[in-house]
Amino acid sequence: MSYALTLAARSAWNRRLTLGMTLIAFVLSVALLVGIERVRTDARDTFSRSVSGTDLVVGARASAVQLMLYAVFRIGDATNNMRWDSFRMLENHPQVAWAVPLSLGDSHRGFPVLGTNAGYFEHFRYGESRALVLAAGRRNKALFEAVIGAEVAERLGYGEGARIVLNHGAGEVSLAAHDDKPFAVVGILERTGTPVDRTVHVSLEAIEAIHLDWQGGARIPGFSIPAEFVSKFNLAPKQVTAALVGLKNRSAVFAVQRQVNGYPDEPLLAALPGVALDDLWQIVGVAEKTLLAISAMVVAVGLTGLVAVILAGLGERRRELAILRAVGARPRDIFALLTLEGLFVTVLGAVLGLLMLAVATVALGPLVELRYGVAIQPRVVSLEELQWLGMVVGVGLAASLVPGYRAYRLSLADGLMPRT
Amino acid sequence: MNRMYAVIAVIATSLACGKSLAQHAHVHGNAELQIAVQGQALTVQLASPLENLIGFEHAPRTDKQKAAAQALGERLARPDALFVPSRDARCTPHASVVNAPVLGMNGVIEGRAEKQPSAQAGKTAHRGHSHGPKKGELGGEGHAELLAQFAFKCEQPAALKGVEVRLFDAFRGLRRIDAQVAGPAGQKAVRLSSSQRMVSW
Repeated sequence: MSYALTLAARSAWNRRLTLGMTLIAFVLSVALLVGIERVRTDARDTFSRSVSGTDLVVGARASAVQLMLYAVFRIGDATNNMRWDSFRMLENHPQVAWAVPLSLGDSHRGFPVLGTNAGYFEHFRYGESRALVLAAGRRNKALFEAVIGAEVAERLGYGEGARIVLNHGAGEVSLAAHDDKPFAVVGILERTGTPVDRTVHVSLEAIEAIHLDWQGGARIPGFSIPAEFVSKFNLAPKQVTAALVGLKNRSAVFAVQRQVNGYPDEPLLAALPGVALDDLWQIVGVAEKTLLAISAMVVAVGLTGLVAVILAGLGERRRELAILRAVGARPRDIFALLTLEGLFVTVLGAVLGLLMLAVATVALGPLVELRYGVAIQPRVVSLEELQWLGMVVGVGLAASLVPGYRAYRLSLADGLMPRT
Repeated sequence: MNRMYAVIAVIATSLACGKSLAQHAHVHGNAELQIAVQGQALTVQLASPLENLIGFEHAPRTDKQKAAAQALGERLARPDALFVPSRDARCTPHASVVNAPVLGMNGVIEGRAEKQPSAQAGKTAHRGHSHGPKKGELGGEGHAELLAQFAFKCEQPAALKGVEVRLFDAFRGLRRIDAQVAGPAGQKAVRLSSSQRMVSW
């Protein structure tokens, strides 16, 4: 048997160019299949670990999915803000244990700025109920102080004491900068693997302060309030983008949700974060299944190409196979030889595909995380992926039986001088 | 006992919010289920167009319709036959509220509620409350809903891993139930059908 393997390997090496090409096609298709599966599961993980221990997310009335996307994942924009008195109503609701205001809309070099209060650091949880921890420095106390996420600190090279300028609106480059009121970085959060890493945290009052001399999204011409005088103004927030709410008793969650949704003074929406996420997956699920189906087709195309190449090679190898027969190889040895070759290429393709994916993850992962907020974890292989690969190799083995059987038939029929 | 009163208080406040009935689409064949678990308390709330449950959405006129309404009341009075929580959790129903104004169901059923048809339950606390008979009718097009809330008490809450929903056997008009869960392991949404009846968490 080991002799058959050596023979198969040497024969394959002799045809390395054609086999190599089909191998590349196959490697790419395997990497695509496993890659899509990996992005899918990691996107779900990232999203579901981003919020924990929050019973309700409340914002202006929109769809629950949209509310979750902008309030928790900082994707997209709010359609509207909620008034500060609505937030106060929520905070003072008898069933509500805590409510944390979120004010979004500004950015710093592409990273979102979140205006909030001290409750955020106390009540916000991610993953398995993990609290936010400062890796360095302290929480923001004075007006123009900011606490930044791990990714912001790493990408922009900020440490404690760095001075940063916030931009009005989102986006990497903005002409409307709040450059007259710079912030000092006083704390850096530990990495969480959630959108918190990409966020600059300031106080709600600071958000009010930098917009004091602004109107309609631009600075009022010829009018400016220097940073040292802003404390003389009323900096109480007038509106917030959304709020995270924790309840005293979970049983009341649906009742409070209904009450918020029926709040007479302002159209509000209360969403259960976990339920909204499942709704999102139901929407995205169709696209995911389509992608998986397409990548499975690509694998099938790769396999077909592989079988075609081995079959085409058979014509040229009839003499080789005839000689093998002449020196004592039985027809089933010929069968094994050809089948092994196909199987070997399939397994090699699967392994190389994984390897390629690992390299791509390390190389492109940070970019994907920065752009889309999805943390792709580098890993060897998961159980689900192994199942996919097992299926691919199984189909590959079945496909390799075709050239094996063909060679078996030929080697029975042909003599030493095949009529080619 | 304190816990029980707390649960009843929650139920009462949730139903006292008059708009609660009107906040989701009225689609025949579909119903909504909200399940909350906290400590020993398991609360299940069902909102469904009456059409799904009895085949009509107005006050019963014929004898047949009256019998259907009566049968519905009897079914709802036995929540443990409609919702089966994990057996090891040893959950027992201890309070329910059924609210379907067009059928004259409007009130709290306290205690075990073994045989008492809920159609007669209006005599308890909620009679005379502001729920007029119009509250259950939506948009003036003759649609009407049923809103019911069932509280279970579980002796072994740690073993409570799910609820089997047997509404599809009882009510042929039901095609789909959108269930939402808020439990110790987080929140989730599940779509139930006659082939997928288990809500687990």
